[in-house]
Amino acid sequence: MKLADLGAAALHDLLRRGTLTLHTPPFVVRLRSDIARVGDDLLHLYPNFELADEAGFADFHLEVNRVPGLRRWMKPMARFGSDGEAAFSTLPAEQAFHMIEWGLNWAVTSSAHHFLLYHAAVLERDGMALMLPAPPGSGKSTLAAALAHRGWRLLSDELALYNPRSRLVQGMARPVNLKNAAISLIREFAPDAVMTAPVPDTAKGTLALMRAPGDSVARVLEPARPAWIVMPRYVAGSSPLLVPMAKARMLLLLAEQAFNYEVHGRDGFNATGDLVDACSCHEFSYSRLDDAVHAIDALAALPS
Amino acid sequence: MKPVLLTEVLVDPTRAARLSMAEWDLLIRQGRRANLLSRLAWALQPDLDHLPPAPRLHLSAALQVARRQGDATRWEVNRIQAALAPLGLTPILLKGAAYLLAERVASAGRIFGDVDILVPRDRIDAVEEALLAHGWRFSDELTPYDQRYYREWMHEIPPLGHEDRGTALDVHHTILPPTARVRVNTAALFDDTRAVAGQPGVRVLAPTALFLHSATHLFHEGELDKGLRDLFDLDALIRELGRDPSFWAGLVPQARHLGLMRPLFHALRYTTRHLGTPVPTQVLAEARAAAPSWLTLHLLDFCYDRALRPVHASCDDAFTPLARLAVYVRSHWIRMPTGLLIQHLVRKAWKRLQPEPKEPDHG
Amino acid sequence: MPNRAVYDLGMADPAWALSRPEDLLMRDWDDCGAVYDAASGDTHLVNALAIELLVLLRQKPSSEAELVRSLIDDMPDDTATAAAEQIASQLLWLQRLGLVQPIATPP
Repeated sequence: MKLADLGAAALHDLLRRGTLTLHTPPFVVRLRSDIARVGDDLLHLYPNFELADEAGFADFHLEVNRVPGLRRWMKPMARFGSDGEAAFSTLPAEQAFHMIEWGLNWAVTSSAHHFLLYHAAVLERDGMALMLPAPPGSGKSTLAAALAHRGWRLLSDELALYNPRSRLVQGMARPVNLKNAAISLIREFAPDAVMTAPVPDTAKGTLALMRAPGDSVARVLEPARPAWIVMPRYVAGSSPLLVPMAKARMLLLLAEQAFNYEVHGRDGFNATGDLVDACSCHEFSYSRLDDAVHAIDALAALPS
Repeated sequence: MKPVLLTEVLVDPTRAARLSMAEWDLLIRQGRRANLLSRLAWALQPDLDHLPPAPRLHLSAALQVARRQGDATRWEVNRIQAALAPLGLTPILLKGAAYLLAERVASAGRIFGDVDILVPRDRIDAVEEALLAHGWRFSDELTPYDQRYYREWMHEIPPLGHEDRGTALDVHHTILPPTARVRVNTAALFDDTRAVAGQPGVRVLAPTALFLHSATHLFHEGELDKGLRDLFDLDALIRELGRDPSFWAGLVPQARHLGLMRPLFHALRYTTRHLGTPVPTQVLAEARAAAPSWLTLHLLDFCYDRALRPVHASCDDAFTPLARLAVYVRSHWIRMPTGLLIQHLVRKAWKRLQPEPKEPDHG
Repeated sequence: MPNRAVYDLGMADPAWALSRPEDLLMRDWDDCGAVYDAASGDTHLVNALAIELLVLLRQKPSSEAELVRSLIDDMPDDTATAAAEQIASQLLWLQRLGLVQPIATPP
């Protein structure tokens, strides 16, 4: 049964009781929340994800609940927790669903060590994967959101689940994080994009989440073979410029940005070396999304 | 009290073959919360491939992390001895790092945090200077009150962190604060240490002292989020070190010599009571000489039967919060004189009301 | 240019060697490479010269003079001197990373 088939009332009830269990392939997550907006955002962003057995095994047990006490005269606050243990400081309750997203990232990166977890957006075309590793301020999410609406299948905005044995990468088809100007940019670029109502005045600016479009969710279990690794950099007013990047530098970048590189030791170094070896590695500066998409398409069209 | 699934499976790993998926869900959660997930994985290791894939993923991951942390700890010890070798000083490793480098079974599947070392009191200033010169730093968050707490009142130097590696180091010159009500014969500890294979420049305590130190640490500890883990460490030490009859022959005399009979009593009582650890009846009888009064013992049982469980709702009963608080207060009471205790608890309570530091990392 | 760290140790004409050859992994592509030190868990970005030096030292411990001879065939004197200085400073840098160390020359 899909989440959308559950109906809002039943969904909110399960969330309150803390028994809502969802397949988020390749994991299962159990959720609890006493905040109504969480259920609404969940329905908006994960309608086609399958429900899982309430009494079965769940990989992660996440909760976001209202914080009781002194704050009645202030904005309501919320706290994220994992299996009853509070993690992170409290935030305004309107960010509750964002806290679930960050929390799920944190949970996956703490346990899923059978993968090498690179910090990158991943998109697929014709079975081959484009990875966009993410130094801060790179605009990778905006670029990923744009590509996802121009013929690329979105695997992930943040977490590249790389299997060093098969040398394939997979994603979770979860929402893309957009902030500030990117929100309206993407609305313009892709009018049919589905987004949550923006949450203003967070520490990171105005935030919104964009649902993974097209057949992303239906094909979430299909991995892809990495072929291109492109480090994006938004530079206002620039023309798109793709420049080959030294593989050793890309190796270091991936290693530094990865969530669990240290856990893999020598294997992590070897696997990352093999990965950059097998891929076409570039730095990419861009400003207009249309141009950027064309440049990436052109790269993908080159014979390997 | 209802049994803790995690403890049952750790004591008898064959239980794992008969678990439902709901029980696996609970087991993994308890293991994670108790810092025992990797120990569980290690205990289940011969049959890991036969376990259901969903929980197996978490067990393998935990084992992987523990192994890598072991490597990181070895490197850390290497760097510590490199910093202190020019002083002609051989630090003594304590607790987790000691189990690891001495290759004790207790180190299998263990998660390591801080490294703890023991150095002679008269060299402590030189040690501090050498460590600071090699990249270790005190936490920026340390207030002048904290510095005084450590140096003047507890007679310790505050915990250190390495500026590049971010690893934590605690330097001790005694195994209990000199202000503690139990007077430890520290000099005797230094008299009998063991070398470590593959790492000259550090040593570990002799087996009986190693056990007694761990026992003392556990039963002076106020926050027992790692309590069950520490209890299983004691169980592992007993099973391994106890194969040598000289360990049992020397344990009680050593405890007397060091002034640690009471912690020994507690260690033997709670390992046998909670984990069924095999201890010779003769040794138990001798340790009984240090038992507290019947009433005190009853109260301690009440507290430790609850406080030595994983900090998880599934392991609590109505009295657990009270039991944990009692252990917390007791640990401070036995670590410092009353006047200091009150000042310190007031200060700590005030600190808890301050806003927390951590923001989620939304990269 | 004299290798200062080496002189501090009071050795004359030492051999250089890999500190922990069993812990060293390397990958290189043209102008730069990456090195992994399994003991510390550190990954380093290194230039082509550093890779060459590590490869030579993996074959056998060598003095600075031997390394210079292996890497500079038939260069005019002025270029050779500059190259020799680069080699000396690269060795120092690799030493600081903990990847190589001077050892006493075997008799």
